[in-house]
Amino acid sequence: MTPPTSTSSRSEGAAAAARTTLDRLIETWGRPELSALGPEDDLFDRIDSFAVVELLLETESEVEKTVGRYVPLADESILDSTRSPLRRLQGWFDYVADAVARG
Amino acid sequence: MTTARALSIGFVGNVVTNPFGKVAGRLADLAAVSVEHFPIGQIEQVLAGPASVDVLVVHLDHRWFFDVAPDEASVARARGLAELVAARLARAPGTVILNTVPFVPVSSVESDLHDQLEALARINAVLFDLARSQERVSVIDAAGTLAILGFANAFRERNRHMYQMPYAPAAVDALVERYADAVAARLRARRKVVVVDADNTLWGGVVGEDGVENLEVDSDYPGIVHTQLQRQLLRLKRLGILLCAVTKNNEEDFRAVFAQRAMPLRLDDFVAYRSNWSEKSENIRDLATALNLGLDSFIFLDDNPFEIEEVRARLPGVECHLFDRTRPEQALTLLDGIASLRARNVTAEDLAKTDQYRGEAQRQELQRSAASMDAYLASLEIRVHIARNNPGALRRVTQLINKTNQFNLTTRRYTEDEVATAMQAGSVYAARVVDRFGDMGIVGVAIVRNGVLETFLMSCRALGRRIESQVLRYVCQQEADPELRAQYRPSAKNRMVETFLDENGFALLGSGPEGKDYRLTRGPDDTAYIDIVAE
Repeated sequence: MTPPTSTSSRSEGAAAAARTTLDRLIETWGRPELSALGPEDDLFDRIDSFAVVELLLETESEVEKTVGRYVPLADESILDSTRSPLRRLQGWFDYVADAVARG
Repeated sequence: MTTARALSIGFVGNVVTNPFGKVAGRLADLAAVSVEHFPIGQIEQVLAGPASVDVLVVHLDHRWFFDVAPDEASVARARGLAELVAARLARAPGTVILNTVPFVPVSSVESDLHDQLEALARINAVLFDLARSQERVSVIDAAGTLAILGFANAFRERNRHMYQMPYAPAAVDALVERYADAVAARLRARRKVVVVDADNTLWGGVVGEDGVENLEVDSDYPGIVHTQLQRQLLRLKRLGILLCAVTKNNEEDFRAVFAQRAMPLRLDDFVAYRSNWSEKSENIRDLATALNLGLDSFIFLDDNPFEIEEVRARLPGVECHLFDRTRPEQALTLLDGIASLRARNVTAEDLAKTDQYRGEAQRQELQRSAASMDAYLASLEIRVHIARNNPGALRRVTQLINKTNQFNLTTRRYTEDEVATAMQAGSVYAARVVDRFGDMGIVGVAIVRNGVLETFLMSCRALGRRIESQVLRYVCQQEADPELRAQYRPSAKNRMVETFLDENGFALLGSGPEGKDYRLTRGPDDTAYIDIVAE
């Protein structure tokens, strides 16, 4: 895949990569009910901490393929039950896009 | 019909092990795998505790052994780990898989760096020593696996410290492959024979056209590619693999290359070869017959895609690989990448195979010249040494149980633990055959437990001499159980033993789709020309 060039398109690509990764993991985990989650739904409460770590790692890998460089996504907030971006599904995609935009 | 065996794998480590659970999918064709993840960091507790799994994977990154630099204390930690593993294996069944330590020492002081490198090697050496002394321990090379990926690509240091997960997904996948290999090597029969083409494979050029002196097989490119392949094949032979050659050449031309060129392989490194103008599939089938091996024991290597397709289409059981001499970077990693050649270890029987199969060829020659079949069999001077419940034979017995498909009454597979348990609860007989042409090693196994002959099998290379009947006769005598039961369970490959029990003094009690059940009546007749030696 050719890495997108502009910052906004990179961010959009990263958010799409995050969606793709989540879809793939939902299948791997055998949790089809998660596919029905909407943008405002809470993902954090529905998966355990190991799945969160797996989601993070796999998303980092997918984003690297998409934007052509490694962007660390790990942050103290991710496993924090009050601040996690996974509290809103759209919040997670935005978080990934912001991380790529920040570089 | 055989069903997939159930296999439980437990993971414990000082990292998040959940992503390693993908190993279940990699083993799906061999077993129905269930996966359990024990709490992170509970290594000692799990090893010392009652956790019961068939395979326990203990995955440790360097932080379990040391904080920042390997030293004497970390070697002592490794020794402590080895003691814990050994203690667990002494009291519980199952296999333990450990890993080399993936770490690259750095230091501003050269001598300190050397000390660290030495300590790291000693940590790994403790693990290797454990695996040498404990058959039920495997050590995957995590360090080497991640080095191939590149440590920079394999590690995610931020994630290591924040989430106890130091590996990128590509690294996880690579490690999962190694774990799957380690488990599969204990479950799957290893292929026994590599059949290799000659022209443009064993050497560059076509001997019949270019002449022996012009063939490329030396220390310069491109001849070095062929020299290296020959060295790799020689190494495989030393690891218990039989080498054969098939080539479309006049036989004298093929032989002349070995006579006139200095090469790593000599003609007698091949247990058999066919140099003629027949199709390669025909020659491979002929080799299988001569060696008394199934086609699913064979791997075929050729530079010509047409020949590969010809063999693949006509002999689907043969695993075929293209040797592309123009891409040495692929061609020379080919053999190392063939999963079906992997094994946990190599037994004495594996190493003696070339001589054993050459002995078989000599027996066939004697058979052709003998006046009668009985005269031939008597002239072999067969002695069968039978040991009951010999722990020293555990490795070979388990290996034989798991790779014998044709002369196998039940095709029941066992782990080493299960064989050891059978030795405690009943009788595990191991039969070693010796004749005037050599020692075949352990070629037969019988397991009797609770009044049932639950396993009876014989390596195909020992068949055709009534050895199997004489072994069964001995087992029946030793068990001294007039009510001894036996079973035939059909599989895709064991039709040859469908009537074995009927022909050897067992009475049919009943039959159904799952097989046939028998009870001992008079047992097998004596075979005068076979001496039994009880050990």
